[in-house]
Amino acid sequence: MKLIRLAIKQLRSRWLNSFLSIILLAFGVGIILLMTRFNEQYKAQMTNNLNGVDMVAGAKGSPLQLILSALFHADLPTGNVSLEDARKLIKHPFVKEGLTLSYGDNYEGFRIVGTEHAYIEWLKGNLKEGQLWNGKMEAVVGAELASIKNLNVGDEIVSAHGLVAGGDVHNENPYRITGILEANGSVLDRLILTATESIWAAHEGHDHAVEEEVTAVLVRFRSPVGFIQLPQFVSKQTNMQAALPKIELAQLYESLGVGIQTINGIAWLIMLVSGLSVFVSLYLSFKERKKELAFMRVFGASRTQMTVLVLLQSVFIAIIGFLLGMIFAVIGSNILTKLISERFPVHLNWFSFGRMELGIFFAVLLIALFAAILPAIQAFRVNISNTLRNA
Amino acid sequence: MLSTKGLEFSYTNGDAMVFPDIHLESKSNLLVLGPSGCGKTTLLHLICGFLNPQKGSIHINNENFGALSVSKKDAFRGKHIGVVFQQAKHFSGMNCLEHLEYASYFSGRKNKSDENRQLLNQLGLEASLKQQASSLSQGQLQRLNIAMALINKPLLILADEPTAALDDTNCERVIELLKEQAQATEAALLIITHDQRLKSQFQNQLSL
Ligand SMILES: Nc1ncnc2c1ncn2[C@@H]1O[C@H](COP(=O)(O)OP(=O)(O)O)[C@@H](O)[C@H]1O
Ligand SMILES: [Mg+2]
Repeated sequence: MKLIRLAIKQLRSRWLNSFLSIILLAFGVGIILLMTRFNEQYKAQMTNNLNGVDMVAGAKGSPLQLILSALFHADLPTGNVSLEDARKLIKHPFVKEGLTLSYGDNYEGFRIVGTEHAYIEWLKGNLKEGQLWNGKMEAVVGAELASIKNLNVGDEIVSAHGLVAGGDVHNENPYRITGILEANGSVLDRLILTATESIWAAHEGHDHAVEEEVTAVLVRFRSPVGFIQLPQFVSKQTNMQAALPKIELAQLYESLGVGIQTINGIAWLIMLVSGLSVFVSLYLSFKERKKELAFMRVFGASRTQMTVLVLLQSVFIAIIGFLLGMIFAVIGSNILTKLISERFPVHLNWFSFGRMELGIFFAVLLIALFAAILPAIQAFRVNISNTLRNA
Repeated sequence: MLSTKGLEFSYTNGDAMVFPDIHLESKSNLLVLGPSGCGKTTLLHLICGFLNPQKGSIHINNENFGALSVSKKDAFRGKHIGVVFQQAKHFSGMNCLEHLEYASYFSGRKNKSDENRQLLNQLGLEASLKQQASSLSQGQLQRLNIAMALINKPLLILADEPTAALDDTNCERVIELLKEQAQATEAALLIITHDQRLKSQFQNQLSL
């Protein structure tokens, strides 16, 4: 215990020496934690949000964009398609179930989606209060949104054109809230749901004659044959494009994975450099420290104690660096979430301490201890006589 | 208490130094005088166990100290030998009380905080108990070093030119303190110096 206190005292009296090592260590740890958590969680959450949707059809454009906008309500829609095309697809014999989504409007930045009641079932949502929409201009809101905007059953909200707050406001046609959903961690939590007809009605008079259009069709296949037949059917028989979420996401994971691996590689490099810096700072300060070590030996301190003292200091650098790295990861995660939330609708859990964190902690500890081996041997071997003569 | 016999030591590429035998009883004092470079510090380092004698033996308290292993010497020194150096030393980031606390800790002895205060009071450091040692004057620091050498109640106190860095007033005070404290703890006191000012203060003297 006293030895631990002594190690802290010595570290504190020479804190500038270890400052660089700690900062480097913290950066390495922070980046690795950030990347690893992101990698683990976004995959799980995105896959979880597929809800058995085998195919998405919509206006031609980037298939990934179609999937991100239709399934995760991130990114912009690719455009609209005719209701006729959508119905043709849903009636196809290989389709087990299908439903349409119409989006493109928002209420103060939260997306309004015109669809059918079945959509809530698909996403395993449940009503907490009130009831589902029945007529035009009735809406159900997600739990998170309701609490952020303090919305209650019976309130009226005014939609605006576009997906971000501040577009043209559809003042003449407000929505009345008839129900609020339970939070279930899906995209429902932040959506406003209504009948497809309501979306058309909101645009009436505004876009003059409104065509009957939807934005995307979500489809579940009757059998795996659908994976081969239906994309062809869509591209040949309709004016839509088909996107297969599993394939698109797999490609996304792969390209993101390469990036994450590169960043992780750099982070490990930073940690190794920090290990080197621990070594250099311990090694260079040895001339000065050994006078104190020799003086401790005068009072009976053992060589083992001196070795442990050096190792302890290295361990403390590792612990402080790791804790600071955890803080960096939390700060970085908030920034990252803000930066990517448009494209990756992932709600990440940044405050976890599990096997991964423990593993990184031990890796950091190992690096620090490794860096301290030579300085620890030096401490063991201090020549008291010579050192005290020159002190 | 302390007896050396036929001690010899030579540094690599140096001439062999042959030291006269020393016999020192408990509670007695001895002043070892000699010009610079004659091997005084070497002798002290041999008796402390910082160096190993190449010939001869050192017995302290009936223990063949010179023949002990490094770790046994460390432990023995911590328990039974107190050392004061010409250049007073300190640990970074510690106040006076903590210095005594750690001097006891290293020797493996249970430390009592009121003992520490009392000793520092006796050495005239009562106003500096919580002061960082790095900010003490040279004279104060030397007194702190004496307190550290005494705190474990050693059987033998060794001092290597304890007064060389001090002015006349401090010099006299330090020697008085050393003699006084050695007597109080019933320790044997061995002072090694070339400082002629001390000649008049000791009855037992030995020249190198
Ligand atoms: N580490 C060393 N290596 C070689 N020679 C040394 C070393 N230390 C001291 N000496 C030499 O040994 C002799 C005795 O030194 P020392 O014991 O310090 O004498 P004193 O303390 O009486 O001045 C001197 O000639 C000195 O130069
Ligand atoms: Mg000398």
